[in-house]
Amino acid sequence: MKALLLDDALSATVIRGVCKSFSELFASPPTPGEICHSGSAAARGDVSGILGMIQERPEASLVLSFPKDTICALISRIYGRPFPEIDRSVREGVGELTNVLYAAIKKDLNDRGHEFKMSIPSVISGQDFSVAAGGGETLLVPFMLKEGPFCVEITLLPAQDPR
Amino acid sequence: MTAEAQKILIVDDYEMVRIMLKRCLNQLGYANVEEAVDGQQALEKLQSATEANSPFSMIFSDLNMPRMNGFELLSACRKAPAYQRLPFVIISAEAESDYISQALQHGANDYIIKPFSTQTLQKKLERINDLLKRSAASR
Repeated sequence: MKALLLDDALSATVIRGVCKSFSELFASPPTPGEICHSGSAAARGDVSGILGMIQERPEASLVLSFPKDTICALISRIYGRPFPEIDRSVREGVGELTNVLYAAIKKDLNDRGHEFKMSIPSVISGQDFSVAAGGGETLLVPFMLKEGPFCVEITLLPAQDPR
Repeated sequence: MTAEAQKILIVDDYEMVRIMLKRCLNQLGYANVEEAVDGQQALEKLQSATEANSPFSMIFSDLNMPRMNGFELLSACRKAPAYQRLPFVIISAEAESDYISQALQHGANDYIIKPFSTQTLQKKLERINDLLKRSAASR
């Protein structure tokens, strides 16, 4: 089984997954920004969908984060009514977007020899928080839509000490 | 059967998905669309509709749902004489061939990968309607 690497192929996978998912869901392809690799990058936002990327062990976390204005505008387009605040429907929408995005990324990775399993997203919200998921090496890809910015972050998790 | 005459049940725990799917179906002329939030509620709605002599003509169901998931709902339908032949389409974000094969082995008539376009849905509906016509002609 192949270990996950935060390389150019993974960046391309994330960009493909996001562009395909958002184009189909919102008829609005997002534009990727400058990719950031670092040990200290942290996705900032007001609401995030988070899930564990698990092969034989939890190998990484995937975080999809939105500022309030971006996600409220996107969810308003689907429901056909305004969402001034992040409520249950908005959080549920972030969960489903995270689910759809992970499925696209997982398929791409598994087609290349990985064995990632299905995972259920959790959603957290709060004003302008940052997520430090696992504290390992991070790939952060920012995107821009006409509704505003958002970002996807994948953070490698350290292997557990078997003792 | 025309689109207007068909009664469709969509099953998904996410309201956002139900809204998007219902909107696509409405755009394609399918106005009689009902919703269920999980497999258990779907079974209850199928039963009430049958008892009221207004059965569903097609079902679109997600896979991962609380209480009763899409595979469990599909198995329950295929075991019940009243719903054995009900066209059943799985709609899931899971795009790997294992899931698609498993769905078809359980008796699904088709599989749509989320996110999907109205055009994809239209093609799948045409295929299901052809199937229904052939099935009616062979009886």
